[in-house]
Amino acid sequence: MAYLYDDITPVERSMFESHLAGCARCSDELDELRGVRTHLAAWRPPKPAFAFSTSAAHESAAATTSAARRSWREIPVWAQVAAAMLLVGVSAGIANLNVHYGSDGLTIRTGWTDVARGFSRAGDDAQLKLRAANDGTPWRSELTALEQRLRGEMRSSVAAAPAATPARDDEIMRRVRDMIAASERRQDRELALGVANVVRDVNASRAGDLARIEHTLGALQTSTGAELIKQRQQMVNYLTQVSLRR
Amino acid sequence: MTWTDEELVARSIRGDADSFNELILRWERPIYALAYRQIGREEDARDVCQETFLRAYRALGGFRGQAKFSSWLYRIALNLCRDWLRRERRAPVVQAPEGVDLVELAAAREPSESIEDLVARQDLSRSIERAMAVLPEEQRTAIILKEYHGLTFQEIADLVGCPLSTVKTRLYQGLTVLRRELAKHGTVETRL
Repeated sequence: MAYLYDDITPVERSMFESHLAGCARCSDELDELRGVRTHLAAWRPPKPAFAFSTSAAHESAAATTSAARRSWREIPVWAQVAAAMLLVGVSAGIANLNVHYGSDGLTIRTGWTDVARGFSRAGDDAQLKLRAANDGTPWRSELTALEQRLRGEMRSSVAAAPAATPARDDEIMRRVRDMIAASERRQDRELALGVANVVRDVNASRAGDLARIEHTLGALQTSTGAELIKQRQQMVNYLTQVSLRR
Repeated sequence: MTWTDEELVARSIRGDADSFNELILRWERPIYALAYRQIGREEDARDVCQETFLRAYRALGGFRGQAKFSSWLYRIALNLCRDWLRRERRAPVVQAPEGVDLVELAAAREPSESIEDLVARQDLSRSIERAMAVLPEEQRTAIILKEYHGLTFQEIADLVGCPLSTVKTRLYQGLTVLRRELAKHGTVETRL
């Protein structure tokens, strides 16, 4: 077996080959087993139609929101930031956010209470009042810093975008390969259908030809039979006339 | 960059979903082929293949890398096939040919293969499938793993949990039975 499958050490191989040279029985058996192995190569499973796609299987296995997380990761950072800002804006709108900066400092107020009651007054809703200790406009520097940070992240996300390209290229290549394979299968099927149509037409034509030949033969047989009867009758008539003359 | 199976496993454990997808892409066809040859039914082979990957994914955290990932996967698949055969209490199914379907034939045809060659190959394939179904499970498993998956004797021994010499014996006995069965149906000639 080890020799047959080439799973053998050089020393063992050499020993076995020496034995084979002088043993016709082993040599014959080895040939036959090789023959069986050659035939075994013909056994191929049918091509699977994997309903089980790779990501679907994984996702169902994980039973998590990994796909959602993956797709979220695929969104560029700048878009995520924009979405977050939009969300904040909408939330602020819904919450009726009021920001006021005056001599008494920065006042942030939310809720749908009466605005006329004034910003400095403690409202019924959540109210946040911040006072600047030293500088008159500390929030400006914070906003500027935030803006710079966002711009930096946007730039870095744009710079990082090409790094993700190979993975996407692989995915695209895989899809293209799948499409090519599907196209080949479709062409094969169309070819097979064409062949099947040709076979069907040939069969129909052959059946028609056979019917015509049969009909012609029948007609020939009929006419030949009539001719024979006529000749036989003539022969009988002739013999009758001859016998009467005698 | 091409990752090894074991690297992909490590990445999957760390939460990289694409790595496990890559493992599935690599191994779904061999695992399906193994399952199909073991149980002989296309639909069930697909189910076994799917279940193999589901179990592998769930147990991924327990994979310590003592064996190759493929061996680990093969073991899961073989266990599932064994369960299937015992549950069904029967030998592998040999799907009966129902005439020659030209459409299926054309789909299965290799690019360089003529229709006549394809028909001959499929006839031979069915003969082998019938002959394989006659083999006891352990002989069939040994032949499938050796012939179609190229495992070494030692890998098969580790996988099925028997001595290496037993693997060789099973292979020899299996090939002998196959030779006899194929000769019985006129597929091969035998001098013995």
